[in-house]
Amino acid sequence: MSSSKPSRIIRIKMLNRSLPIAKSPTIPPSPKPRGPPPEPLIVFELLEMILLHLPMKDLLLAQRVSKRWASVIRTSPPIQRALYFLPISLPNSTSDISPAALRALFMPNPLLRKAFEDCMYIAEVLLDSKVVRMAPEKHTEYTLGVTLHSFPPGKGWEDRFRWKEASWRRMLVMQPPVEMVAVEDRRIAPDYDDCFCEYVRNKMGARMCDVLDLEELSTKTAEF
Amino acid sequence: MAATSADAKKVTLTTSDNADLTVEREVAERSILIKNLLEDIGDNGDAIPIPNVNEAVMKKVLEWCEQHRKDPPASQDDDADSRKKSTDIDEWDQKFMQVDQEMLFEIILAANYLDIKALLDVGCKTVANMIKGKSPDEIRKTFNIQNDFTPEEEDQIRRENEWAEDR
Repeated sequence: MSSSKPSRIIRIKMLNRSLPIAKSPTIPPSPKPRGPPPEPLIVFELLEMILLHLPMKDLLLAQRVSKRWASVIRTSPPIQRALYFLPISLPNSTSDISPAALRALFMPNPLLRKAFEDCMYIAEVLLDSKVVRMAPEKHTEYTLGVTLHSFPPGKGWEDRFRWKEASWRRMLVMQPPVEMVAVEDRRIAPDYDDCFCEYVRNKMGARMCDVLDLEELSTKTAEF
Repeated sequence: MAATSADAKKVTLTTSDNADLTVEREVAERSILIKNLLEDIGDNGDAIPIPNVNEAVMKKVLEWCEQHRKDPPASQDDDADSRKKSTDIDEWDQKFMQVDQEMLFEIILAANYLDIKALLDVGCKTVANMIKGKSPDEIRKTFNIQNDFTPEEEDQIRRENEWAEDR
């Protein structure tokens, strides 16, 4: 018995070695049966429910998965609100809400905050008593304070932001939307106290393109 | 009439593969569908057909209902729009959801059909956690989704959102 073992092993070894040569074109490379994706990832309301649990960044990325996913993300109002593309509204009556509670309802766009903070474009998004004007009857009269700083050169990110159809341009800077944003521009003269400051207004809610115009900046810096 | 009070608290559910599962009424009523059915037809002791859920999935769902039988009833769906970013899942539910992908999606479908909002929520959160942090290609591979974009179409979406990607 034991003497027959080695020969068997050798035969297996030879078989193994001959495998690459025996590659036959008639045998397709392991055709994995591709069934349809799971039903909850197709049905609109279920996919919507799942996607609503994702952070903004993953939601934006998920649009690239398939046409179905892209269409659900683009046409679902709750998802569009979660992405700060569609405005959310305040409760109908805000008169019985305390000013502090009312202010707590407002949330600056966290993705813009992170993306632009990293790039030093927006150093601060202020939402304290200094810049927030309380006007419970006209709730869009909140003012968001934004300070723009110049970005460190050579990080290779500018093109991604400058892309004319970049989605950050369409995003509301705050939910519920604010009509006015105080923009303190320290890009040209970062150390002077009399930096450029302006109020940007958009009756439909201030969007990031109202606050920051990268095209304008590129001409400015070119002149500078 | 002849039923004792203990019997009256039990209901029998007939699954799609003709299995009869008898559970306490309180447990079964975590399902709003079953609760409404029992209220409408009255508890006459007849088995309730659940034609969309098989035995294996129904047992799993009832296991969840048993664990959560004392949970306060789900509040009216006023927060349908509110951002439910939190993908925190309590420990028991996390262990409960450690099943293969097929079962996970079956549970979601069953929870949706049976109208068990909290279970549906846990299922959706579990799937969201599987999506989070993955690239579109990794997502497709994970869930067997076909990329049906032309390279140009996908590139357009990529360029629109490239700014948000990690550097």
